[in-house]
Amino acid sequence: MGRGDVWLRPAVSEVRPYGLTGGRTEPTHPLPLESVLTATAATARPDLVPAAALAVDLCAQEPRTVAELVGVLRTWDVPVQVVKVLLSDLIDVGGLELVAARESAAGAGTDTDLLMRVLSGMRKKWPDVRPGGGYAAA
Amino acid sequence: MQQPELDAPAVVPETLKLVVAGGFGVGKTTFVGAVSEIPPLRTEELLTEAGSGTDSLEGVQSKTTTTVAMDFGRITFPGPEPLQLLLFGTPGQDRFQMFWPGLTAGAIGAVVLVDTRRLQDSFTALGHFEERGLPFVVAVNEFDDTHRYEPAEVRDALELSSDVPVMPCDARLADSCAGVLMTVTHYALDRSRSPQLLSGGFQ
Repeated sequence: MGRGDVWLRPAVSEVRPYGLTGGRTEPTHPLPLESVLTATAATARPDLVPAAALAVDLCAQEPRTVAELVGVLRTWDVPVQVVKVLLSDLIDVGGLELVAARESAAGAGTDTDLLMRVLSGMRKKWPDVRPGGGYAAA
Repeated sequence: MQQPELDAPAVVPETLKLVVAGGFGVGKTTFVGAVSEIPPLRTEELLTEAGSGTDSLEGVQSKTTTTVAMDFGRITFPGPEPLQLLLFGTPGQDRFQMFWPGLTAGAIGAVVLVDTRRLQDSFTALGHFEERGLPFVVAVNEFDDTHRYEPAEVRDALELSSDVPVMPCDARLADSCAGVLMTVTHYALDRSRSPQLLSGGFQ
């Protein structure tokens, strides 16, 4: 992703924040920051406000977390709750899809398995890096 | 318009949250920026005061909400079952104390970044992680002009339990930060295999 397209700043800040959501402040989906969204093929972008169109474009490139979308739209002065309402609406109209979140805290066994996968991913990604703090010999 | 193949779903990574905490100016932004695969972003979350994370605020005027800004970065580990580690650099100020549960909910672990000249700035974060039983490591960000303390000295000064890893780091260097992330993952894994470390006793 080139940076230029994201950092370009349209005149969206001339709209008062909750004007983008018709005054609504609560998203219909809770959307914690770690939830992941993907774009569907169905979205007609011309109908969307620029902030929503950008969100769809970003999710069409690759799956994105809510944290990242909030972070990008923050540079347009769109507050987090407004972003969540916009994303929520996009889910409701079928433009974005919420990827099923992992069952959190499903038990110690699950966590152990997940952490082992993270660790093995780290070893592959950073073959020359060693842990410290007493794990140096590992 | 061509529809995407229904039987070829996009491989969506599973996300995991990791918190990078520490006092103001200790290097959280630098740390997140050094290891993140995207240019670091400032993200934000609307948080509710402790203990009410899932409650409705309706009609409860005494509860407080605030928007907390955090540094955000991510690291993807590709593969048939890809994972994405989400890094959240969280503000360490005391005034956010009642929002800590919301900041750290669902995290697999935490890095507490400390500056040996201002150890006290990390107390809020340390206390919170100890209380919640969230695995954390202490990374001493070695600023160029500071005295180098031994990890054991830092451990003593912070009154840490003997199993908490303490290590030096240079938040400007990707490999150094990667080593810290590997350490906290290792430690969280050890802790998940030995639940008695968490419950303090009998299995």
